Amino acid sequence: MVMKRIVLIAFGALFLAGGTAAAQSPEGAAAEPALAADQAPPEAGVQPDPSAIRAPEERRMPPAGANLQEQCEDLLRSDAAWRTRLRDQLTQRLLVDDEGANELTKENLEWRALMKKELATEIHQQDADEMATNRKHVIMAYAALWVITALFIIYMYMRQVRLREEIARLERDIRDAARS
Amino acid sequence: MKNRLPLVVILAVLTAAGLAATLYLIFWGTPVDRQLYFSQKIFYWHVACAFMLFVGVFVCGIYSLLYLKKREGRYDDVALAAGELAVLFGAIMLVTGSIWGKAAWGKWWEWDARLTTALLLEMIMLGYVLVRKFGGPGSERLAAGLAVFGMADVPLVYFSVRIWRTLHPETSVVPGLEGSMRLTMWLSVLTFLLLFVLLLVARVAQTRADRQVREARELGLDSGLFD
Repeated sequence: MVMKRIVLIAFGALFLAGGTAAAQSPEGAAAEPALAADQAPPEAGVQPDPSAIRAPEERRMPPAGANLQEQCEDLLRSDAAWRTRLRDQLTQRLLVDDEGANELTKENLEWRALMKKELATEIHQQDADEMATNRKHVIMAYAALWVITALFIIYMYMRQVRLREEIARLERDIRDAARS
Repeated sequence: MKNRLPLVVILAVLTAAGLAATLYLIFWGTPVDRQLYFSQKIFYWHVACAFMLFVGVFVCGIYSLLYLKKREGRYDDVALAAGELAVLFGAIMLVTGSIWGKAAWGKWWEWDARLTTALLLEMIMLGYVLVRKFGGPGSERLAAGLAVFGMADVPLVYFSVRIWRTLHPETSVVPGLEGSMRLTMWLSVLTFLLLFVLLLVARVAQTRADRQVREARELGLDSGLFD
């Protein structure tokens, strides 16, 4: 089931990418093959490059007549880390990042709806995990509170210093006036 | 002038103890919320700061009214100190609320009724402080009028969640809290009230001394004692 989803995602992404590239390139479907050369999965244990999954306009169409789905399946089977990364990035862009989702799916709303349906469980789980372990915002809020309070106390301290100076000046002026 | 140091020390010790106790209760003594999960931990001090904003605005407004009626500087001293504290707690409330909004709604800010009226109140109080600082002689009365206007805005902020449809949780959330959560929230409010009183006492002493020094210098200049 998971594999089916992954294949569907990759297929959809590559389909869109191919469509975009074909629309931009005068050669259309005759463009040179790209998958094996520049979309090769990284070696095991190596952190994949974030730019590995490129924007649709950077992709190129596979050779005419090639079985795109088989290519995708082979590619995804060959490296688990790359597969996970592809799925995560697509999930993020489709369902979390609205701008990313619009960019990816602006030419195919039907595909977007399909992907959303397929990824519903994953995205709910992802949201739940993120909320359950969201320490970043809590730390930010408490830090902001202390920083703002500290700034106010510093402001009060500076006022106190100025006030002491003013009182000392006043005392000096009164002494001078009394002498004269 | 009365020596307020013992009072300040007692308030400081109680406030420090209260902050430590509430921090412990927030992170170890209350369960994780079933809907907002861990980010709900922001709630306790965020709400306490909102209450202190209201307290600050009310104290500022009431003492401004007294000043307008009796024209005695001692009322104005309290109004100015409370106005500054309202700005302080309002800023904390807005910043922590914004961070919580990002965690819960995915957005730093939303122009809904509660957030907008709260921002408006903060801007009125900021206006009050700025008029006091840069308005020159006679600005006290103008600022006092502004403070009374700010006080009238407090019910609008509080009831905005009932009057309009908003993203912000309603005021009915508090009675529905689980026992330890409710206790922690009210303890937080009490602790921040102590912090408010502590800062108010210290700040009033400063504004009063500042005014008295200014008046003494003016008296000296008027009588020809100083050049």
